[in-house]
Amino acid sequence: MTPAGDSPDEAALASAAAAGDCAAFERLAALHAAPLLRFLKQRMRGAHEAEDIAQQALIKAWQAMPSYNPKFRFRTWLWTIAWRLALSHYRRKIPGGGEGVAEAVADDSPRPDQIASRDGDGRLWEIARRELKPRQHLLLWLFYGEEMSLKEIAEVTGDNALVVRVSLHRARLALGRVLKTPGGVEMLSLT
Amino acid sequence: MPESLDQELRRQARQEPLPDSSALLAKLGPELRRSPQAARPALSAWKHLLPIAAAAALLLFFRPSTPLVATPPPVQIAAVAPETQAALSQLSQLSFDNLLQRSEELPRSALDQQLQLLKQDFQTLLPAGSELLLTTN
Repeated sequence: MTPAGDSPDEAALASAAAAGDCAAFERLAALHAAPLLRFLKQRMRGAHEAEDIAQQALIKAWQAMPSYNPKFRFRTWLWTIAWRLALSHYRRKIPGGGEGVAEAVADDSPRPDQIASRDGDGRLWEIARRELKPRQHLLLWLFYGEEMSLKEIAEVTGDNALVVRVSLHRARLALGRVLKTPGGVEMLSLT
Repeated sequence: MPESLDQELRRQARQEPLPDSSALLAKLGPELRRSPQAARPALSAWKHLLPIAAAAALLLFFRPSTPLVATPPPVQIAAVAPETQAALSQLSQLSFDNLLQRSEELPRSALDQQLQLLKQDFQTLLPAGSELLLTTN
């Protein structure tokens, strides 16, 4: 069975990896490593931390491959593992748990002059990273950047899909307010 | 301004640069070879046993002392406790209560026919080769 979003090749690699084929898993990892690293670098303090978590996530995924359910996208499953590892990492380092994670991510935001020095492309995400709460940025990125469904985002964040839907809506309203685009928010529609 | 914020978020997300993951992948290979996979969960094997477990529970309801073997001794419907009847009603499409209530008014042949239907229902739960015997007083 090929889950929605995974190519047949990817599904075959996942199936082979689940049966213990290490080379198949390495090819799967090569497909996802860069996007995973980008996802983690966006919300962790340092590049080294992001690389450590990405590596841990890939090793954990390899070890747990026999229990991987091919009904779900491999990408969603891997992101879920990585995000939980990132949260655990910050909970260990920062007293206060989840709130500490939020602060840690906020500290890594680019400065206004860094944003101003760039051209238009990619600027919206830097504004979102700087102005929105980390959780709001996370949801927006998973939805638009990773193109995950509400259900998949709920898998990654451990929420239910309704909570994700409402939080995502609020995040877009907040970004719309920041961007001061009257009428822009009404054009948004959840799919 | 963008014509739609969500279109622009999508467009700009696609242009976000991907970091170089070659160092990560170079370290990953040897790590993977040192990390054994977890054993495959045994749940799938248990799934096949569930119908057998259900049949065993059913037989125990009928006759607690009856061993779970092929061709168990005849089952006495009249001896079935009310709570057992309720459980059986849920398990079978045929209402056991209804059958018992109607046993007085039904001719013997109709009752036997109903019993055969009930037996067919329960037989599907039993392991291959075993047989459930139902009789009336």
